[in-house]
Amino acid sequence: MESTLRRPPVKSTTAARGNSIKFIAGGIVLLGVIAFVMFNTIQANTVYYYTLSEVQTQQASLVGKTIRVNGPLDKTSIRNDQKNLVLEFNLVQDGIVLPVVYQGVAPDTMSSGESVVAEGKLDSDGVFRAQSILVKCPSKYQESPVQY
Amino acid sequence: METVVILGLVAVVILILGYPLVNPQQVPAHAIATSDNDLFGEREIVFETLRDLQFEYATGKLSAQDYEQLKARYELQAAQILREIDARQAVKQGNSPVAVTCPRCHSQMRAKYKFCTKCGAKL
Amino acid sequence: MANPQIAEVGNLALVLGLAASVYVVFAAVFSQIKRRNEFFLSARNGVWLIAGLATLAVVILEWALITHQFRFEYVASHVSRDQPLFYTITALWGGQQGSLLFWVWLLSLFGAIVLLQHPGESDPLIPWVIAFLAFTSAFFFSLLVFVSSPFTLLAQAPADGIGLNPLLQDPGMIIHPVTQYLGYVGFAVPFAFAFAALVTGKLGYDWIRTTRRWALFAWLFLSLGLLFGMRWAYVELGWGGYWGWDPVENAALIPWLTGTAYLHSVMIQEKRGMLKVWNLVLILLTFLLTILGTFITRSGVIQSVHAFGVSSMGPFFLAYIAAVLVVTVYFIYVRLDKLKEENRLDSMLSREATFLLNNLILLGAAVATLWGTVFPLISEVIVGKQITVAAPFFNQVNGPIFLALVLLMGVCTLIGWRRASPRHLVRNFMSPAAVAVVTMVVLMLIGVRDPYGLIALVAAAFVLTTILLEFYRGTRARMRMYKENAAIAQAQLVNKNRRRYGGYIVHLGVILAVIGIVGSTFFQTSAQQNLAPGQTVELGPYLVQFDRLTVTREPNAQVIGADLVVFENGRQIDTMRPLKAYYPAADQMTTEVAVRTTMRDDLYVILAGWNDDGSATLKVIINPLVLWLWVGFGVFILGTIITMLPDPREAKALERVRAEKAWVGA
Repeated sequence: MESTLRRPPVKSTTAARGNSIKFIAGGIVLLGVIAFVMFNTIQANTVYYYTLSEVQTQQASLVGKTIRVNGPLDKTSIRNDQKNLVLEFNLVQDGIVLPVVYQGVAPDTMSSGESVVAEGKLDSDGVFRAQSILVKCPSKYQESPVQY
Repeated sequence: METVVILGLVAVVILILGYPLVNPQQVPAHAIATSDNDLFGEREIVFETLRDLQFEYATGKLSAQDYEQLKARYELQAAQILREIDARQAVKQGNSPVAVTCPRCHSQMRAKYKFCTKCGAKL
Repeated sequence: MANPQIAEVGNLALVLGLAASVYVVFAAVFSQIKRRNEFFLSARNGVWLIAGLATLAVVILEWALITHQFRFEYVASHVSRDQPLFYTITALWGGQQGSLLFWVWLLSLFGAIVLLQHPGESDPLIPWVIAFLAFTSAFFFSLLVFVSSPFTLLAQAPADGIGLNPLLQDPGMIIHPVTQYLGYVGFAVPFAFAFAALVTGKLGYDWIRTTRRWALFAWLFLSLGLLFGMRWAYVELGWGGYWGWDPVENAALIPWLTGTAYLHSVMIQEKRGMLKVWNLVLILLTFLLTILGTFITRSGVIQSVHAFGVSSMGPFFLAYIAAVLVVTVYFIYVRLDKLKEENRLDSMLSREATFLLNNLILLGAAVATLWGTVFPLISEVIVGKQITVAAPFFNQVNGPIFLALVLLMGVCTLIGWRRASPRHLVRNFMSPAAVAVVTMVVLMLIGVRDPYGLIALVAAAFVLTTILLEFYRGTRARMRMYKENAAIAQAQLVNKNRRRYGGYIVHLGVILAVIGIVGSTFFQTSAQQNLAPGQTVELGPYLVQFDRLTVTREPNAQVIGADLVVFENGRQIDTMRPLKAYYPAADQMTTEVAVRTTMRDDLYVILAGWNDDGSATLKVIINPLVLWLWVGFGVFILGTIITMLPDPREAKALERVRAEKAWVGA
């Protein structure tokens, strides 16, 4: 019964089918453009994560590149010049010391921080010039929600 | 004390879940199976489409020619769906022959209908 | 009862909740396969039972929080004695275990509401809806039972708890998770109906009609979640912005994007019987993305500023997502013959075509954002090295995508359903295009030079005109067709057509928000200076004078403030007081910015630091037009509510269909 009762197809089917092909083609082109832009941009914006020992061994090749460094914070080394807003501290792990300089407002969690993720560039003098820093706090749920 | 609470809680769970299983006179008939292809839904869509067309024509988004053409096409579709519903109902009711006249559009249809299949008026 | 016994009851409620959920899945499925209705009734009872057990667990945890039962690990780490009661109560969703419990509690309540909405047994979808919702609550209960229970006890109760992170002690931050979760959990219901329709093969219009409001509800709360999150970041985090492409922010945005696509494309299925498979895919994606969002937020899997530490929930979430994905895709494949399109595109120049385009663009934005968000994970798996994607990636990819979306919003308003005639289209284009040109000239005359900002503002002006024009034309058409006066026609236009004009109001809100975003993104200016008392800093039209530092004590914090006087064009207009608060219990500082809002711009002042000599370091930011972001959100929410209001015409149609169905049994 079903088949006999199905109503006949609407007449302009061929034109409509042409439309959907056009549309699918357009859609593919559009998604292709988005994908192209995406991969192009991602190349320019990827930031590699390095540990302190990797920074030390590959120092020469890393100078001038934007990278992320993750390491434990030496709290005694924090110097915060509030007048000029220059924050200096050291990341220390297994005897390797990486001095970090950050120009800007110190995160509220700095003094209680355990480790720091710093994003920026390594200078030829071995100082890491951070453009942004992210402080991680010891407590499980208190991970610092402050980003600068 | 807590043993009582725990046992009580477990008992409540079993009671609530099990009651319908051991109390068969509570069980009503099984779910009514509705048709897979929803003719009434399709009809409402076509009606909605026709209303939209009229409004779009009124707000100057359709040319008169396109409006007439599209309107004719969807009216045809609506008629087909209504006929299909009609046919299905006829099968269900074993072709009751007594006719009734719609008070609004004066078309004839089977007596058991609650609504006019042409204009939707209540019978 | 002592603490250990109460904790035991709490854990028992979770275990029984898990057992009942598993039972309900089997009972509901069995009732359909074997046609044993008594099992369906039992499953229905089970839904109520799950809601009751989840409520019991919530009540126990709340009791422990409010009465400071510090032997509960959860209480000890999220509540302290000096914490205000409000933050103590809301600590329920302040941590991982509590928020998972909160999730499953909302889900169980939604399940009960679904049963209330469908009291009869005649709807063939309901058993499968129940089965799917119970399956999902079984998943969350098993996380609570097997991975991290909120009722874990410490060997000994500490004298005081750690307390809620002071940064989270803000009303906005308390409401934000609730709205976010209502949105996340809300999408489970439309998906459950979609799933039921797939399993039963009843893929008509019923599942879409019944879940339209649920989807809008979930979407509304996702939007509110974004609003509160952005607002909190703006006033509380103190870096002058509201959006940082943080993984947790992205996790909230991505399902919102696919949900927006779904809300649009589902209209085409309703109106034209097209895109059936596409809609199923979109609701599946949206639902899974809400689960993924919950996972990203609650597991800290991706290095993120909001996340709650690493936990071992990953495999559970992956298994659940994989199971839902595989089963749903299988059923879509099985039902392909029932998912045939009933209509085809009449024309490429039609609103349907713009909706399809909008869908592709929204999906593109979602994929790009998702890709950037999970990229560190993927790179770690493949290259063995975490590679993060910096914020500029998201701006560079999503900027053009969103601009295209905004333009499309204008084009779609000008184009009618089914077929637009090019001649009419050109005529309709003329005045918005003229307004756009005038806007561009005016903006350039007042000195706007940034090309991206200029393009975006001109596009916004174009779309704004098309929407206002649409209201004007609609009103005029009504005045002609129904002989109404202008005011009545205008009100009736929205009232009689709540979905369409509610939607336009939503678009209006989006455009206002775009104006705010563009203003504060491209035209932000800032200055940073160390000031001795009496010194001033100048920025734009404002002159900010620093008077003195003040120190005040609050019950749980010590507060340092900077008293400022603000001048504009040499005239004193206001005083401001940015703060820093130190919380000894958590050994943490928080920043409280001072914001002065006008329609033109926000003056945003941060107290960056202070010195023993009484000087203060201030960061002053001017965020142009940012007020319109919040106003836009308000309009947006109003529009969404209008589309959710019961539509008298729709109700009548539904009633007619129901009456006829009951009559014919067809």
